[in-house]
This record gives sequence, structure tokens and C-alpha cells, in this order.
Amino acid sequence: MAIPLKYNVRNLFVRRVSTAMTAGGIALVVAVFVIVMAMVSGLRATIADTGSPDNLVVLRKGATTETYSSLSIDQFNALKFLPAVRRDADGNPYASPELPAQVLFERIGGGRENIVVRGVLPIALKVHEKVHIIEGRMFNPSINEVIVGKGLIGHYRNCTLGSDLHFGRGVWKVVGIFEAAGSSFESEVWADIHDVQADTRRGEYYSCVRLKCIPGADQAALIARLHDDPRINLEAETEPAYYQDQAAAANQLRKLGLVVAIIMGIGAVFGAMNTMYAAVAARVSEIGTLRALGFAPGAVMGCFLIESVTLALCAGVIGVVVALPINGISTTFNNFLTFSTLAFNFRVTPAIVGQALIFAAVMGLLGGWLPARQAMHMRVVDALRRI
Amino acid sequence: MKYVHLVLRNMTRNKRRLALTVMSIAVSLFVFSALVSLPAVANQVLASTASAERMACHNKAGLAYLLPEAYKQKIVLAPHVVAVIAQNWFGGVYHDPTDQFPNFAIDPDQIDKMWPEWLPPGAATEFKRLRTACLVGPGTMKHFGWHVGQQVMLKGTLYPFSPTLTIVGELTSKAPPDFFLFRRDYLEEMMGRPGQVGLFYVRADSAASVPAIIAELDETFANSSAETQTESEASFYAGFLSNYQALFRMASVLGLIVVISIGLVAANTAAMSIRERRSEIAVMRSMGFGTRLILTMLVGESVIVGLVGGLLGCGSAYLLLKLVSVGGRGVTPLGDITVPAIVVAESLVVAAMIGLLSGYFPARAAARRNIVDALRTVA
Repeated sequence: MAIPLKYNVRNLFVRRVSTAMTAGGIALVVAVFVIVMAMVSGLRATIADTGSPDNLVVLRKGATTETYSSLSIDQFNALKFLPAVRRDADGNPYASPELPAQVLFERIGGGRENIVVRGVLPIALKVHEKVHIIEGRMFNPSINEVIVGKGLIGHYRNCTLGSDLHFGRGVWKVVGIFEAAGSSFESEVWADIHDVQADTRRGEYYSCVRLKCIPGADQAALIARLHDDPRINLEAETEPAYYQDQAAAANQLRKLGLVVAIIMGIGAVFGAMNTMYAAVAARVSEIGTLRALGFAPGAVMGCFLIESVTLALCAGVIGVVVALPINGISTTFNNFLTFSTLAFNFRVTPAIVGQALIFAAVMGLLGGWLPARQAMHMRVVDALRRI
Repeated sequence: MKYVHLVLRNMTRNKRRLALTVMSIAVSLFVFSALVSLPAVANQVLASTASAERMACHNKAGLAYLLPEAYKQKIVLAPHVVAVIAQNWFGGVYHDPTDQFPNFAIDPDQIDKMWPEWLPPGAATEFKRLRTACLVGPGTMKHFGWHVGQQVMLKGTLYPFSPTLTIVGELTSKAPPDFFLFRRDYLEEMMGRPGQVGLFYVRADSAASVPAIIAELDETFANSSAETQTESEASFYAGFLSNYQALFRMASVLGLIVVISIGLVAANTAAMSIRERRSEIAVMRSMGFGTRLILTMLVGESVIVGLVGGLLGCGSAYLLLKLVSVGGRGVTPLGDITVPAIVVAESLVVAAMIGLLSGYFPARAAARRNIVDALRTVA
């Protein structure tokens, strides 16, 4: 027979101060876990959601990011009319040549940071179907007009509709604001590709091409064709695969966060162990009485384990609640892979909350295990004798 | 002093609890000192690589913008300038594209004037003699298992050109360990002389003339189509490190939370052990031990516990960083790194504070408690 749960809960309340302090320690560990994971998941979602499964990223062979890639107009012309590439009603292929450039922008509140200015043609809005202009209009080519991702608003100067942006060699008019379903495009400025070529003095070349495939097209065959055709000779991958790799910065951060959380967790387990040993020591005669009443040793051990897990879970809930307000807060982070800044929101997902509570329960279980075992192995006679 | 023995005996009375408390403090201070070291280590690296006489002159608009090669002639003429080297970021890869290391094309003629401490004897002469020469940092050498004299092919991704280069020397440990340098005149020739430069390294005759040169250069190129921003080498590298600023900020916040949460745990343990000794303390007081003495002994005990934990934690962080820095490339792009003395001191102070605060309040309560009450309760 099990010992009633009420016994444990009441016991926790008897040692109020000590329970609160142990719980406080565990709660902070859980809060750290939630905050770090919310940051990682926000960052990763922002990067990984950028892709569309129909789209291919075409880069120079050997290049891992568009930052380090270059391809010629001849290569672009050779690939844009391939049969697997989608066309619009007028027969124009959904092939978007792009030239992203890292350009220093002034932060509101001081400092300069690299932001991606992506040179594109108007076809880009069709290829990247997540990108929608929510205010203003699309830029006109060759007159230094730009559209700005809404993630930059509030973080960088003059990123509002109608203002003059100073970057690179010129002054650029903001004629539109776009959103992109929370993806990393929202941290970019889009301009006419020829304007960007001219401003960076990089000559007539593109960095990468984005292709939209006909639905159901054999993407693997297209990728092989792009790779093997001597006129093209380029490397392609699907956008989801490409952005998965780009999320490496998020993965590094996740590793760091996990290591810190686990080490802190070990510290908290030691603390919980101390508390539970004290709880066992203070209740020796009670344990003896319970055993004498006929409760099995296993029930006694279970009882103390439940007590410690309950404590840890309550602490876990507190930790999650403490960390919850961070959900949705917008921040910026420098992606070391592309040397450019990304704006993203912290995301506390149900999965993170679940993991945090499991983490807390594991801490309680580990911290309670040895003390509970000690309680179980106590001899009834000895326990009753000690008053 | 004569009570030290008593304090130690009291401390080791419950060995399991002592071990758990020391371990939890050690673990937290390990995390704390490792996290707080991050920015300090970054500064260390800056201080060891950057020279006070060197400057970097690059386009004001950002990384994507280049400078005309012709600027070199004007920079050389500026007063107090002793050497100028143009550099291009090549961005090539060796076999595996995900295995990145920084590779640059640089002007060979003044390399021994610009980075004398980076070069092994004879390397400069050889680098100037052979068009396809390259110099490689020790980290990258070890990583790919290269040896001096070997030919390696860099695959260009930004440039449509893949040079085959001969390693003529391994850079000394003073150079960034993963650097790979080859000749810019070779790159220019293969690319049809575009004449565009990523940045110029400029060396002054003394550190004192650096500010004047910075002002002079930026003024010379002001209002041109390629305005420059010249910075001391330290501030230039710091700009790159600012990419990691968000990480550093997070690390210090985490460090603080770690300390607070473990402070709670330690305080809890101290309170527990003092509570158990209430009647004992009352007996000592009735025998004539003063309140202050008892308080000092109790607090001393928890400070010792804190310090032992702190030493353990900080020591293991120190060892870990040593291991990482010996392990070399891959983990960090940095050279020799240690936990800075200031962080060691900080951690120990924090450890002592945890002990002090966690012991003080319960000890005060116990020491002030009415003796009669304390004796009456059966613990």
C-alpha cells in the first residue's frame, strides 16, 4: 500500500524555508534552461523557416553560403530556362539572381552592425512567396529605392517608410516594408540588383540564384543537371536543406546552453540531495513508525522520491513561469556564419516547457534517490529507538 | 586561532553534507568562472595578437565594399608610415567546404616589416621569391596534417580561381593559428588585375604616430567614391569580436544567475546544519562562550566551505581552458588562453561571499537565541 500523497505535501510545508530555498535553486536552473532554449528555438525558426521546399539555392561549387559564392551571368542564362523551372503566365522563369552584401548600418542607440542588403530583381517576390509588402510598394530599379524587412524596424536607424537610408556609397529611399513569415529575410534590406552591383563596385556577377521548381518536378535530377552541365557547373540544394546548415550558429548556442544548464542542474541536484537527507534524518522515528504500521520498504522509498520530485516539479513550474515573459521579445543576434545580424523573437514552445519540466523532475529524482534509499534500508528497531 | 580546530571538526561532522555542499559550490563556480572568462579571454587574445603600431584601413561602408589598389601609393606617402600591405579575403576551401579557415591574399614585398614576429627565419625570403608560395598558421597545419614544402590546392568559391600553392613556412605561435596567407600579385594576375583591395594593413614608425596617421588617411580619402575607415589593429579585431557580443552578454547574465541559485542552495545547507546545532550552541553559550565568538566560528565555517568549493570550481575551469587551448583548432580560433587572474580573484571573492552570506543569517539567529529556550527544545 502506498503512503498518502498528502503526507509528503504537508511535510514540504513543514520545512517551509528550506523547501523554498531548494525550490528557488531548481527554479532558477529551469528558468535559465527555458530562456536559452527559447532563444535557440527562436533563432533556429527564423533561419530554418526561411526556405520553401519548392525552391533551390544555386551556388558556386564548394561554397557553403551565399556570402562566399559568385556566379556569372552566362551561368545564370544557361540555367534559367531549364524545363523543371516554373514559369509565370508570360513564360518568365521563376529564377531569381541575387547578390546579398554585408553593409554597415547604424543601430538605434549607437554602434554599427552588418546587415544584409540583398540585390534582387522583381521576380524575387514570386520566387520567395513568403515575402509580402505590407506597407508602401516594390522598389523601382536604378533609382536607389529599397524595401526594408520589418525585423529591422526599431533596431536600426531610418528603417521606416519614406525615410532616407544612408548606407554604402549612397542615399536610399525606403519605399516599402515587407514581412516574410518571421523568417530571416525580415532582417534584410532588398534593393535592385543592379543598384547593389554598382554601389559595391563588384561588376556584373551574382552571388546565387534561387529557382522555383514546377510542383512535383524531380529536384534531384535538376540538381544533378546543374552540377554536370558544363555550361552551368554549379551546386544546388533545396532551400530547407540550405537553411538547415545555416542554422549552425543556433546549434552552437544550443550546445552552450545545454552544457551550462546541465552543469547547473548537477549543482542543484547536490542541493536537493542535502535537503532530502536532512528530511530523512529529521523523520527517522516517523519512518520507523510507518514501517511498524506495515508500510513496505518500497513504499517508504517511493514516498520520499515522490516528495523530492514534487518539490522539483513545483520549482520547475515556478521556473517556467519566471521565464515565460521572455516569449515574443524581439532581439538581434549576430550569425557568425554570415557575419550579419538577424532579428528574431524568443519562442517558448510547448516542447520547451515539457522538456523543462522533465528536466526538473529528473533533478528531483536524482536528488531524492540516495536519501530515499537510505530511508528504505533503515531497520525498524533502530529507527524507532532513535528519539 | 585556537578555535580553528573546533571549526574544522564542526565542519567535517557531517561529511556527506560537506561533500555535497562543496560540490554544488564548486560546480557553480566552475560555470561562473568559465562564463566570465569568455570576454576576458577575448581581450587577452586581442592584446596578444594586435600590435600598437599596426592599423587596418578599410572601406567605411562595410565588408562588401572594396578599395582601389591605387590607394596604396597614397598611403605609403603619408608621414610616419613604414609599411603598407594590401589584403584580399580569398574565402577558399580545402577539400571539405564545411571546414573553414581564414585565407588571405597579401602583398609579399613588405611582409617582414609588417609582421616580423609571425615569420620563421628565412620564410620571408622564400615567400618573396616564389609566386605560388603560401604561409600557414600552426593550427591549420596540424589540422590538415600538412608539412612545409607540400603543395596544396585551395578551392576558390568567391573567386573563380583555385590556386595550387607551395607551403614555404609555418607561421610562429605569435600569429593567429588558423591563418593561411598567399601572394596577392598571383591572385591579381590570375583574375586579370581587377585592382580591388579588401583592406590595407598599415604600420607606423611608433605607436605615438598612429592617431595622426588615422586622421591623415581618412581625411585624404574623404569625399571620394571609396571613403576609408582606419582603425588601430586592436579596435579592428574588436569589431569582429563584437559579433560575439550578444553571446558574451548572455554569458555574464547566466553567470550571475548561476551564482544566485547556488547561493540559495548553499544558504539552505548552512541554515540546516546550524539549526541542528541550536541546543549545542546554547550549551556553549551557557558555558561562557561569547555571542560574537560563536558567530565568528559559524560564519568562518561556511566561508571555508565556500572557499574550498570556489578553489575546486575555479581550478577545474582553469584546467579545462588549458586543455581546450592545447587541443588547438576547432574548438576556438584562439591561441593560448587561460582563466585570467582577475577572474580567479573574482570567483574566489564570490565563493567567500556565498559562504559568508549563507552562514551569517542563520548563525546570527542561533547565536542570539535565548539560551533557556534553546536548551529547553529537544532537537
